Amino acid sequence: MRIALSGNPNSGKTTMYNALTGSSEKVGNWAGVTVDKNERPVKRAFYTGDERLIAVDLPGAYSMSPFTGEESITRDYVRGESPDVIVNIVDSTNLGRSLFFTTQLLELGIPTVVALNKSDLNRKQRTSLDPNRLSELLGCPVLSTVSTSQEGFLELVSVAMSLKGKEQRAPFVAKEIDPSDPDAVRAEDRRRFAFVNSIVREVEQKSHRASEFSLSDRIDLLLTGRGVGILFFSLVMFLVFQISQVWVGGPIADLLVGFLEQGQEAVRGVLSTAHPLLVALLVDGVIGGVIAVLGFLPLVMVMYFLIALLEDCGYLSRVAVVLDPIFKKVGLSGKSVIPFVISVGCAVPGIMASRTIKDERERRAAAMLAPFMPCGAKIPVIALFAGAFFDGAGWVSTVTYLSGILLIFLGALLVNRVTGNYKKRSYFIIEMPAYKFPSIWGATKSMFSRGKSYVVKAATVILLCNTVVQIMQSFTLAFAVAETADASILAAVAKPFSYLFYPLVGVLSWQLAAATLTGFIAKENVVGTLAVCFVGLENLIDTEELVLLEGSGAEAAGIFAITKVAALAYLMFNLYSPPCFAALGAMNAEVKSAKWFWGGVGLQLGVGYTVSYLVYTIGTLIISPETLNVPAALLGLAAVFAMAAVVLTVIRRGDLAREMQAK
Amino acid sequence: MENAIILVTVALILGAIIGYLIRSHRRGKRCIGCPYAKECTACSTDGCVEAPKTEEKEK
Amino acid sequence: MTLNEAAVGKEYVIESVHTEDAEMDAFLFSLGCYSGEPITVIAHRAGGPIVAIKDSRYSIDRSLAGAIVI
Repeated sequence: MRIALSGNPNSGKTTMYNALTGSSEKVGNWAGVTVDKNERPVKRAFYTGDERLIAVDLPGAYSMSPFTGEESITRDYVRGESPDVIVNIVDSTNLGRSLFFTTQLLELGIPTVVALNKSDLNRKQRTSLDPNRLSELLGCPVLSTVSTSQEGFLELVSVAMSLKGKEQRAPFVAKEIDPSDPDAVRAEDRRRFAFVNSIVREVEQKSHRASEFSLSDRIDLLLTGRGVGILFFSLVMFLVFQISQVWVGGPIADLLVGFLEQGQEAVRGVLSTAHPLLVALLVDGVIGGVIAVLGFLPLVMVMYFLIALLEDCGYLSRVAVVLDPIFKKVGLSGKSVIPFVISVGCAVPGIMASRTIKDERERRAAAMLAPFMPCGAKIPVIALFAGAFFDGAGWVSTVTYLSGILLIFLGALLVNRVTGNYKKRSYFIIEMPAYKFPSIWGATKSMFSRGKSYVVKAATVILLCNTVVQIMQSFTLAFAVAETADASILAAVAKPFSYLFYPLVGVLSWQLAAATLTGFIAKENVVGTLAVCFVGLENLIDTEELVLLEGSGAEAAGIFAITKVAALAYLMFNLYSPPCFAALGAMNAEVKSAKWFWGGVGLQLGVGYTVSYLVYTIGTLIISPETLNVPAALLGLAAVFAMAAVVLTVIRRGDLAREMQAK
Repeated sequence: MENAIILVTVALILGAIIGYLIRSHRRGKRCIGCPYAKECTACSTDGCVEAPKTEEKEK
Repeated sequence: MTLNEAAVGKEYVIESVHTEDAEMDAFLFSLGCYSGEPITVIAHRAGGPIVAIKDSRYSIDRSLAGAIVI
């Protein structure tokens, strides 16, 4: 039996869906049931009886009116898949708005039960609702629920199941109108709203009016003010990084790495009589590479925890409001802030979030620029270099995020210039949900769930890559055992690329080139591959040990054979060049055009290279000009000029095309 | 003797991983290792539907 | 007058909503922002007002506020 969950976005529908269905790895229990993409079996704990219950998650929608573009999805689904019952999840703190969609759902003829969600908030605000009267007026069962605590779930499921096969009459029937006639549609919608308003008046008693100025509003006024808003936001971001990398995450990571390394050495000891190549394969390649990435797990988990707190309390929409005027200056809007903020965790969902941006050009720009924000996978890379070269200084990571934001601005300006965007009228509206104290438990769950993904990725994709890299480093092209790493397959493959990196780091290092290349599969691989190429690298992650080593920055520099400036430049290249294949795929899916996709990739390559080159060259000129590798610098300059020339040509061509069109 | 142990261990590990990845792809689970897999706008199961396959053994 | 000139805390009735974008109009409508419905400005920020429509708060920019006549 199928129950379809439908309702406004942000009504708690997703929370309920996740709670009802949970994650079920034991698909074995449901052998024979084809579980489709947005359908999952409901957990057994919620109901009894023989019949299997499957919940279907329909996309959130505000209405099924023709103009919003979301009209067909729900209707088509109902017609095509015929769920047995519809569960309409309603944000009961905003009944007036939510019931609009409800009345439309009721017209579909499928038995429906209404869940008045967020009842806890209503209780707090001392708003009383009369579910019985509402049930009479709507012609369907009405229950109170709280998604976050699963209150009312059991009753909801049992009522839903009892509705199967029953008839559903609509309390409000829309007149037959011509959907392409906007006035007729509008008039009909007004009738519907009038009906809804009358229901709400009867059913709802508010103890204070929604338009009153509350404490929440006072806070908002402060936090969304221009100067204060940005300062506060910067402070928040700084704290997030400081806590995750220096105060809490860092020390835990050190402990973890120390512990893991003991295990590693123990294994090495046990295998002391085996062929050294095989030992290296297992101990340094497989185990060592994974340790290098897992060592950063505490940092990443703390960051995910803090981000979950931020997401939950409702602050993020305020961030969008604060940054909107700034983003408007570069042709984006506050709406793009959300993709960028999500990208701090992972670029893939961040890029997909750009779907909410209505303006096509802005959406594509957001999708292409989101990867400039360092994602969770890039944190190990940042932390590694910060720890190895800069004594774990907090400013390194702050700089990378700020640079990411700066590059987004510059990138947006460039996109504007290329597409010839002239101040188009664009509107910005974002809902500001009431502040709520973030759920610590929710954030913890989120931290573990995301942390688990990180571990899974490390134990699978990264482990595989590291093993391959280790093998490639141990054999020559003739498949003989390589005497030195320089004669290996890995070196042979990476050497051509090392010339490209020459202007960025001042040396020809195939190891660095190899690391960056593997980074396209997963950015964590940069750390993993470096660990394989420079055995003993794991020690550099242990910042406590670093303190004991004298001149640790120099030590790292000695191993890598690059200067601190070059290290920073190399780091930046890895951060701002095209993201991993998964993110590139998401980008391609969002921009939906080969031209834009390759343009985006080109932009990212160009920006990464240019930024890296400038950092290295200018940095070296400032700090130690005598060490500057002049031929490399000149080559790099040529490359940068070439890229600039390409950009200018594209702009010119675009301008000409537009001029032609205008005539 | 030890060599054999190592080889077998490594083979087992790699085999298990590859098997896991293939099985997940068959089940339609993408975004292995994506921390937001469960909350992705494009997916309701624990795997982003529209993201591409992560390339495994590649350089 | 438009929302940009509205006094804070006073409930107005919307006279008309005219953005140049049919989709935006429909979206605003689904929120309860259409002619005949009440709307209150909670605060005026430099970039645009924060308004209350049907129990929800929204932050909108000046150009959008200018399209809502009260």
